[in-house]
Amino acid sequence: MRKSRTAYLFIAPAMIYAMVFVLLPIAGVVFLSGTDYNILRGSPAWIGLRNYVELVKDQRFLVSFRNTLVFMAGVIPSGIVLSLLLAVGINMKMKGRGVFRSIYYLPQVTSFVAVGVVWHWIFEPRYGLANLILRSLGLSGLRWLSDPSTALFSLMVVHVWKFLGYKMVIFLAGLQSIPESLYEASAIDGAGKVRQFVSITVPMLKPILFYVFATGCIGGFQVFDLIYVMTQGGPLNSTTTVVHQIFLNAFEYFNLGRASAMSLVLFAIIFMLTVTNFRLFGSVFTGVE
Amino acid sequence: MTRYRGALALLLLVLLLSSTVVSANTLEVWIKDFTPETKELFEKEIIPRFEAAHPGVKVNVQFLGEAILQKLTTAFAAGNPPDLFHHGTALVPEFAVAGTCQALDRFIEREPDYLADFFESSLAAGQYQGKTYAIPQTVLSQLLVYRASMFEEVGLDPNAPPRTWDELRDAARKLTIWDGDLLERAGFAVPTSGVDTVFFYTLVLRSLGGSLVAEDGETPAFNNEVGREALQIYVDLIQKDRVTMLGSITPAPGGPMVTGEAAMVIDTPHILANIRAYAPQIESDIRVAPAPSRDGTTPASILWGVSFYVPTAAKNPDLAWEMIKLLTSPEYNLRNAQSLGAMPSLKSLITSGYVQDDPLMRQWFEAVEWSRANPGYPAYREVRNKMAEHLEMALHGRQTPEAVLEAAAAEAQMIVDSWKSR
Repeated sequence: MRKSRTAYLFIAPAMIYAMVFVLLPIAGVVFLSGTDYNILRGSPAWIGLRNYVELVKDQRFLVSFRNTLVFMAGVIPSGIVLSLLLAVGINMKMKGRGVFRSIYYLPQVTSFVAVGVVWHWIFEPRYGLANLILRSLGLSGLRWLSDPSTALFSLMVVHVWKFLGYKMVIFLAGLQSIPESLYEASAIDGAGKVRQFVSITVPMLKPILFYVFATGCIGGFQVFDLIYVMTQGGPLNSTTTVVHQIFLNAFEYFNLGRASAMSLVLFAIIFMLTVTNFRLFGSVFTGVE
Repeated sequence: MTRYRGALALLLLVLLLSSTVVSANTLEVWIKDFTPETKELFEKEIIPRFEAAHPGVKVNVQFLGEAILQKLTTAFAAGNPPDLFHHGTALVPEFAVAGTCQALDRFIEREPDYLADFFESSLAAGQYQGKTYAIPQTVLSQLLVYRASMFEEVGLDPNAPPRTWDELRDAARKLTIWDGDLLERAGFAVPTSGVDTVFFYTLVLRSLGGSLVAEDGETPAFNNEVGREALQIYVDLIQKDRVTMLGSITPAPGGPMVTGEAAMVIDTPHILANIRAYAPQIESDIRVAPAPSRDGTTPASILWGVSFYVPTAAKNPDLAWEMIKLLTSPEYNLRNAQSLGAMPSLKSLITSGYVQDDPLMRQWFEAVEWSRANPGYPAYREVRNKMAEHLEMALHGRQTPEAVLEAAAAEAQMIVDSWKSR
């Protein structure tokens, strides 16, 4: 009994934090989603499910949902593959490994505003580095952030670049925990580098792959900072995302009821996706039934 | 422990009292637009002067920039707003209807001549249903800004700028330079994304005698012949005349005039401040003129600027009013405007050296007379943001101007009705 009391005392701060800053606000959002609460006006009036009914008919919300899915489909696989290859490269015994690791991690610790400003210049149609490279290869330049057909792709490039270092460090930790003896034994059996990567590295990294995939999905659904800094959802709503629409409804139009309904829909989707991830891939990646 | 209980209780009481005393005598001021010069003006002069005139009062100024709106909404929701803040007048109707900001008439009535020196159009922008909610600190009008040397380069007379939209389009076509599929120089740079598209469309519409809203001040009134004509001019500048390019031409501060990538723009005197800061060598090449109109006699200009509001829940409204009077006094009204590259909101300051010694600034000041603010009704900001999306469809050639205005007017009416029912 005394040990339980001590244990509860130790976890109390975290529990209080979770209650006050996580559970209570979620409960507040659930309540507000059924109201027409305008943040300036004070008392909300109950309107039931009207916000949800309107969401189904809201073209902007549906477009933002589609954009978010496309965004995730672009950044998650490419981010995982590139960061894994980068981690394998960095893991090799070479001089300056620590320096390279720091350089690749730098974008992760750079603010989104700074990243947005720099990439705006990189994507600038006339003087930007991106088009200079394309033109040097004999191709014509693109309008990148100004063209509805390339704007979302441009943001995907920035997103993958920004989080490459973070995923690389996680994979690196996983790679360094793989016993060297496995590689030595496979080398004796005649396995080359590619075979070792496919048959040893990837299977041994399955728990980490699952973690990176799951957190990538959660993060992908919540993408906002880049959109806010670089495109404001344009051109032609080609880069607006669900969280961007939540922000607009809450802080531009002061319609917190509608924003809360969107948040709850997003929460439900992320929750179901995470549960599905665990159900479908959890046992495969962790080896636990 | 018992020994110290009394001391602890006394300490807690002192802390509680001191915090209460500090907050009641602290005037919280939130400023939106500022430069390093503005901050220095506040810190070195305005704050010490106000505190000396009001012993026991401490002034706490926060310089917030564009983040002020988000901070304000959370402060209002928490019931803890500043005593005084600074913002454009687009928020006046929403704040008035929500009761978030108080009408300042009870202060104005004590000083009958206080409003006499302000520009009428600027005062009107801060009023809603006959009451004054915002006092102007700066005003900004719009003029056509152009490069004389670029005019001469293509055989145009810089002393005879275009006065009609047809003349402007002719001049812009001559001034435009394309390098393959990339625009090297825009003959006339116009916004092609975001809410700036609505502002430019409004200017063109007004110059043709049209209006965004009907006489009731909120019913959409742009889905008609003159509305379509205005949007067609806007679309043709991009799609037919190709005098500008979709998307921003440069992310450089100050825009394309500063980088030499545009020959003409319509802008406020902020452009002058940017040119002086980033490209002073071209300042002598800059000319201004009234924006084009149908026959050259009805130029339009949207009136901008920032104004002071006092929240309803302000702890020190009387002190806030004293601070407004200080900040709008001729001395600080002028110096603050100078620090921002804007124009002072007092008519009498036209005689100041800041205006008289600068022929360009003098023309912007004179343009305030025919400038009008954007429509002022509670749903306007939401209508404006969503209308921008519709206008972009026309500018990108995805829909005809007729279809775009039909959809935009229908949605605007829906938003207006929805606000009325709240």
